[in-house]
Amino acid sequence: MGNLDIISNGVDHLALIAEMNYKFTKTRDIKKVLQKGLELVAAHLDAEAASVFLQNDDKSELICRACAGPIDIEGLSIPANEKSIIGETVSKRVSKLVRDVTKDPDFDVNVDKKTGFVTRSILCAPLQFENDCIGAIEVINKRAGNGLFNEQDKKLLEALGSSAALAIINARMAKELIGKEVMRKELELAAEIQRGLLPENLPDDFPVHGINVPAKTVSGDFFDTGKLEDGRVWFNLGDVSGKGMNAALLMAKTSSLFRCLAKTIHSPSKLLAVINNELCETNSKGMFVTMVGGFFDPATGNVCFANAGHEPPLYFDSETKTFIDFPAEAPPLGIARDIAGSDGYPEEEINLNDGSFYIFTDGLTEARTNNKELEEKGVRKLISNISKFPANEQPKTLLDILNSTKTKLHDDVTFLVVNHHKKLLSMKISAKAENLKKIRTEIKKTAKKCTSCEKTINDIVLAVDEACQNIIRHAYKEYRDGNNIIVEVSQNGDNIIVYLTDFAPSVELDKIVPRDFDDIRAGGLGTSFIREIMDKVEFIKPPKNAGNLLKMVKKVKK
Amino acid sequence: MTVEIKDNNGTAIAVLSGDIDLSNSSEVRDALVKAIAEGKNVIADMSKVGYIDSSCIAGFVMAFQEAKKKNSRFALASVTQKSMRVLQLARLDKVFTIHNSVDDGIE
Repeated sequence: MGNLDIISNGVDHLALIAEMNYKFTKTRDIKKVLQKGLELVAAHLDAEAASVFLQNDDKSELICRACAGPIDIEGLSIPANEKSIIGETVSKRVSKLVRDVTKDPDFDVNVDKKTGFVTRSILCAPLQFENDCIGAIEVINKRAGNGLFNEQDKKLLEALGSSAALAIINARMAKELIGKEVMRKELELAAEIQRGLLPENLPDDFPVHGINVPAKTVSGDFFDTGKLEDGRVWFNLGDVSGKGMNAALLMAKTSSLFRCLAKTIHSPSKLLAVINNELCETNSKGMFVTMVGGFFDPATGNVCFANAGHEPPLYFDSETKTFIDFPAEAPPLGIARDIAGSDGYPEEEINLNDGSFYIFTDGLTEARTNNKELEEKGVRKLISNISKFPANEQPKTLLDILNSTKTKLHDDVTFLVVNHHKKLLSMKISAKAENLKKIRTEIKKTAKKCTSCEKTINDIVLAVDEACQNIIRHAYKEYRDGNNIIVEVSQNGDNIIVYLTDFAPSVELDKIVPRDFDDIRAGGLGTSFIREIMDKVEFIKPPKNAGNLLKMVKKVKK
Repeated sequence: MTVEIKDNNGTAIAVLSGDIDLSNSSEVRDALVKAIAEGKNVIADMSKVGYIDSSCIAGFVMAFQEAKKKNSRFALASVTQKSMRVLQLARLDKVFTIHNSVDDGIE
């Protein structure tokens, strides 16, 4: 070959490499490009046949993924050892030029025997990029000239091999990423479906409210609540053993069973027993569910429930500040049929009176703050802090406290509260004397919903007016735009509870003393009215960003 | 809320009407104190009052004390049950002179 030929061949080769690279970068369909590229290479090197072999997943075999020539060997697999020219090329990561295969001991004659093709000469280059070798490309039987591949052919094939390897590696990574993305989307979808199983948009005055904070995308915890036609309210909170998809699916099943069966089985004991047997019929993977489920009757204030192996639910009496716990007396659901005996799961009953009933998962007791678990003691403290708030605000307030104390959650946290606070009024109004009449009008309307006793209604109106006056005159001192009062009224059984929130600096509690009634000076009179009219008056911890929160309770007769 | 001072044979009758609260109780207080400063006996006619609060009571207390200093009289008349409740809460129902009607107060 003359020098000019070499140069012209070199230019041709460069053009080919450039064209292949361009095609590799333009498409993600690597198979199509390999096929086309292989045809171009075969034509360019004037080879009778060409093929690309790629390693399988465990690298034990090399499989033909693209071929050009008279015989289609796509799918043909050969062992990935050094006993074949392709195998040797891959394992040694160096090209091999065999001018006459009959003289090469590595040549595997079986392929020719199977296909009827006669191989004379082979040029084989590894498909490698940096340290990654994923297969080999080979060209067979040069047609032109002396029928032998030369060094220049070898260099070209090596260059093509490495750009093809890069393209394949990139395509595989892209596919993997897409796969991960698809998985992520599936999980998100599952989480969305799961969130859909939690009760949503409960009215503010609904007696059951809860919250579920999953540790991962999907959760094994759940709670649910709904109303029966007779006005009673069913509720449940459960924790599925394990996490991830399996737990989420079992959660969905248990929750659906409860929701469906609670409509006809109104005894918690029987209801849990039926759910247990149903779960046992199909649950095979040794998973189980701990659950507290029951019914609340707003007409009587009675809560009736059963506990299947769950963390003890708590009753907190906000009047006496005492707790009662209810440890489980029966094992979790889904372990064995009729496990709780013929009487079903033991039932407990409690009247809410002034208190609230709480169920939560161990994700809450095991939450850590300052590297220490909350444990039941910490949870009790949390509950006594939030029990002052209406039921619908308690779950969110709990979460706010956990966030503000930088409490770390390691597991799903689910929390549910049952009480019969009914929110009757919530208004935000500028703190000025001219607005007192408006406040009185609203309070009167609201109090009328709870009692028909004219004197009690007037008394409550007076007490709220006086408390608002105190805010206007003493807390804010002088009116500025943005000085607001939030007036909220809720009912809990026979109690009317008024909450007044202001955003003034905190008052010093010891400065507010009831007036001595023998002293007829005008100051402090309003405060003494409030104390005489209301059964309970206390400043409680205000929500974040607020200044003071006054809670006033008045027991009324219908 | 309105305050109207009428003269009845030398006694000032303060006819109060509407709701008396923090937004307007100073008007009531000023009118009562002014009449007392003029040396008159004052009777507050409460028949048309819809609501009173502690700030209104404070105005009455001031009028009551001013009258004492001047050796004149300050009294309330036609107090509704609703207003009476507030006076009772302030333990002033036995301190203030309370007439069944304005006419009873004039003697």
